[in-house]
Amino acid sequence: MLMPKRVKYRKQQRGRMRGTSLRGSTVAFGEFGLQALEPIWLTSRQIEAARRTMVRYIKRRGKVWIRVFPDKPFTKRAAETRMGTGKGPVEYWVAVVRPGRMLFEMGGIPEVEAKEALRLAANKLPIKTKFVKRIDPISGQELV
Amino acid sequence: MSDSYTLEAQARTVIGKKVSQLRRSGLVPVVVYGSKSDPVNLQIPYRALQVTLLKAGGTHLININVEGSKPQSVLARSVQRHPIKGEILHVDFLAVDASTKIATVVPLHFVGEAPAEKARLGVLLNGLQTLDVEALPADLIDSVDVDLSVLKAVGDSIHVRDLKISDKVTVLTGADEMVVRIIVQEEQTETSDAPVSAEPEVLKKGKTDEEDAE
Repeated sequence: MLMPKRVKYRKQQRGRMRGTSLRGSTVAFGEFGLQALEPIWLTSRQIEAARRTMVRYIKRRGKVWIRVFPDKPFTKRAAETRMGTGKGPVEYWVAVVRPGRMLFEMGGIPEVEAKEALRLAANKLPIKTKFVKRIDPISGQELV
Repeated sequence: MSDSYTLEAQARTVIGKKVSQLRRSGLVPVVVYGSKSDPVNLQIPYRALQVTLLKAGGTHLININVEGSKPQSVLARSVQRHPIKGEILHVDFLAVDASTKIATVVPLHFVGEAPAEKARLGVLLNGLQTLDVEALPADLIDSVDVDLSVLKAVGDSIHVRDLKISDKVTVLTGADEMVVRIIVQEEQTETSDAPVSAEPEVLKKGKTDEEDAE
């Protein structure tokens, strides 16, 4: 599963997820993409589950890009522990996703198959998503 | 480049965060700038702008008519869109001078199907989607065609130097840059390579485990 190789600090503050995604919201590498429509902390397990589903469906064809990386540590206090004594240990890693963020991209396969693969992947995610195609940044015309 | 497009615009006094009020009333804030003139803030009705941009793209000249001043030839340089809805939020136009060469980005148009990909020998890897070119405004081209039928085996590639482009246009992208290439299909593994329970290395600055436990 995805996680950082090295970090500057072991634990982080939670932060807020207001507004829309400011970067990484267009199809940049492949031809088709899956775009988040809601804010969420996407765990490395959820990303991996979605990736596996896509790869299993397209078999050995095409290429998949993962556009999010879980670089935020999620800490959790041990069960039945009294309050205090500091922040709990790191439980897992999450990617902070704001609406508009491109989660996955696919290329090298027909649109029908990409659409189905991304639909199956979207089923593994706890947010609403939409299927998008690569567009020309100036005219807004679909390039696929 | 024979097609010409025209947009009617009005001068804009609303700037900053207040432009959201403009958008609600069906107008899009735009700016026109150039090397020989000061930047001018304008507003254009949404639908007219959308249709014109769809047709003209970033490679056709657009004539902008503003009340009380002479028409200006411009090129769409940058379009800001809403990340989810895709609505146009703001457009940058570059005022062009007919006698000065301008640098712009031209999309690559892939024609046909690569025989190697068709025979499932490999997959097509795209290196470039656009090409940086320089030309006089009248000589600008809409797109550059890339013929994929020459890609017959794994390892075959098309570079910028192989593209057929008009002599009037200077290509700024490096001649050795790869446009497309046939690569061996990487096996997309279902299992992840990374170990499941590995701990990331912590750089020295943070608290150590011992300090944290105190």
